[in-house]
Amino acid sequence: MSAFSNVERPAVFPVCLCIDVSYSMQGPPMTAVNDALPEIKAAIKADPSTGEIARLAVVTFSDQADIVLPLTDIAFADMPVLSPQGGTNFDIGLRASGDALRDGIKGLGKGSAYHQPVIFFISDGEHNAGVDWTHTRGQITSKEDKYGAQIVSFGFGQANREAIQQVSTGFAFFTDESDPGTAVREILRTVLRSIRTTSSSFSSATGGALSVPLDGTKLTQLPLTQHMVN
Amino acid sequence: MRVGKFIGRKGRHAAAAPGQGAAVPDTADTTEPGAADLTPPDPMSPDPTSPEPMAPAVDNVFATDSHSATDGDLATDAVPASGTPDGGNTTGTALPPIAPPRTLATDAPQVGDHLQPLPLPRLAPTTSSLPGLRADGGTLGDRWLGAASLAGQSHLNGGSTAQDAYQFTLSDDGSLLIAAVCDGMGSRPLTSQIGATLLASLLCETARTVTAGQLAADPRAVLGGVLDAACARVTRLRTAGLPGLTDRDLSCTAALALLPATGTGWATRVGDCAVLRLAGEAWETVFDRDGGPVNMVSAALPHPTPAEVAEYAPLAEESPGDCLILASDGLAEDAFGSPAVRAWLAERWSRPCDAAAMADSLRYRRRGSHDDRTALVVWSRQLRNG
Repeated sequence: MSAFSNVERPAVFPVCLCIDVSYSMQGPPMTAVNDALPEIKAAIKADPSTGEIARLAVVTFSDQADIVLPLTDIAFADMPVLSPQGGTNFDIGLRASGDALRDGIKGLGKGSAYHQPVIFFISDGEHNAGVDWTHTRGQITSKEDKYGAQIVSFGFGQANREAIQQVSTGFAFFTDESDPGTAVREILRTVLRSIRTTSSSFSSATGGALSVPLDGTKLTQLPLTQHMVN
Repeated sequence: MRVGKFIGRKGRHAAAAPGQGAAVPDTADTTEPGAADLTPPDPMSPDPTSPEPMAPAVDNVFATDSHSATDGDLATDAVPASGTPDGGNTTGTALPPIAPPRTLATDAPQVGDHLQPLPLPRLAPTTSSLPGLRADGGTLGDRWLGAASLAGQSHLNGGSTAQDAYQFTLSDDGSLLIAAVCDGMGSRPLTSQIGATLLASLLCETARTVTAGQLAADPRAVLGGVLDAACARVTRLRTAGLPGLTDRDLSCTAALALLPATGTGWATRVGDCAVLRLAGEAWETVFDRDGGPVNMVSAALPHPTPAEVAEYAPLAEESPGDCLILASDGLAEDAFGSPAVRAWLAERWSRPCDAAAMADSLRYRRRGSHDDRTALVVWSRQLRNG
């Protein structure tokens, strides 16, 4: 296959928001998510250096996982409205996120250039399904897989810090913000800033090092442990 | 098509900064007819000739949280250039809009749908920053060489320095044209441009002692030796003059070509800089394009054993009109992924370019293309006199 594409194929930065929508998210956290998603769209769209590169998918998980927004050019995205349901199963959320990214990147066409995908994982609870999610986490972040993603994880409320740490591939955060709606806003603002700063750093070889600016937030970065690194 | 005379927003001084950026007209300029049409007009896209300055970024819920007011001003929330105040509005007070700067007209195309005006550029306060524009064009030995390097929009948005470098020379005996392009690592935004500049110079300096005969006899050993010696010199200079830095702080990718007056030349590269051939409108890549994410490179320099991580390839003697192109990945990815960019560059480089024409050739605006762009083009000897 020729290295030169016969159709226009701009490089993209695939991003997936993997959001816990279990019942514990009902009320202010869910309202905050639903308020923030259109704001994220507007902010990304308004910034050419991010909007021209970032492609966004949204995955929800509880007892089930749904790709509520396949990997999409943000300019054309209809942001979903989420509603709470069921328990918390990290495994299916992670698996669906990996699927959304893989299918989305493949859908760009052969030879399309893309930056390493990133999953932003957000949960306020503990995995309470009877399956081991760590195997799936390992699969979707494998460095041997050309679609292998990085995971930035955020926990708040009743989330288990150790689990949030384990989900991540390097960046794991917890907020002690007592108001859950404020906590979600703070997390999503940080997600947005990370998308923007990472997109803006795609400017040279191995630019595009994932960055997660925390300035002014109440987020605490959880320490890196060996099992977080592939 | 909205080609015509567009005014980039790269700088305040027109002659100094032919931007690859968005089009904002200077009312003193007029549109030149006859531009090729590469992109259909898009009724949904903002008129690139709109004289409106950049609107402030959207005001949203994020601006009203515990962050400062500037947090909502997403246009100022880019990657800090140096860990120092980045020149953004830190007072929470809206700054008055800045009128679009004067610049030079260009026929460079706009490629892609829904292209928005780009933000006004921010200069890097880093004292070791590179020029946002560098260009050359002229004879070197018996060939014409043109080169240009433009700071990418990502750097201009964030007020950080460009990180690409190029260098060229002749071997001491005049038998080889030597050319190098280096691309500093984005993960070292304060220092990698130093590494790129240093390595490009040292690759050329080291290769000057090579002769065409030595290259023909054992090209891999010669090129590997040049890489080894140049990396060793980078490390020695760093240790002596920049003791606070590590080799990783100077990391860059590189491509190097040695071209004899006649016969087969050779190229080597480490990482994702590209070496391309252009014959008429036909493009060819000398090294395979890596699959997988474009922001993950296979190797970088300095390296303990650079010769072992490098790729090597012969360069068949060019035919009349052919070009050899050394490119940073910012330009190479545009060439790989955009037929419109390839068509534009092929047309522009169909004859030797002077410095201004080289710079202008890189002023296209392509959706999603915000990286530094560097091209060093060597035309076949037969075109030396036009």
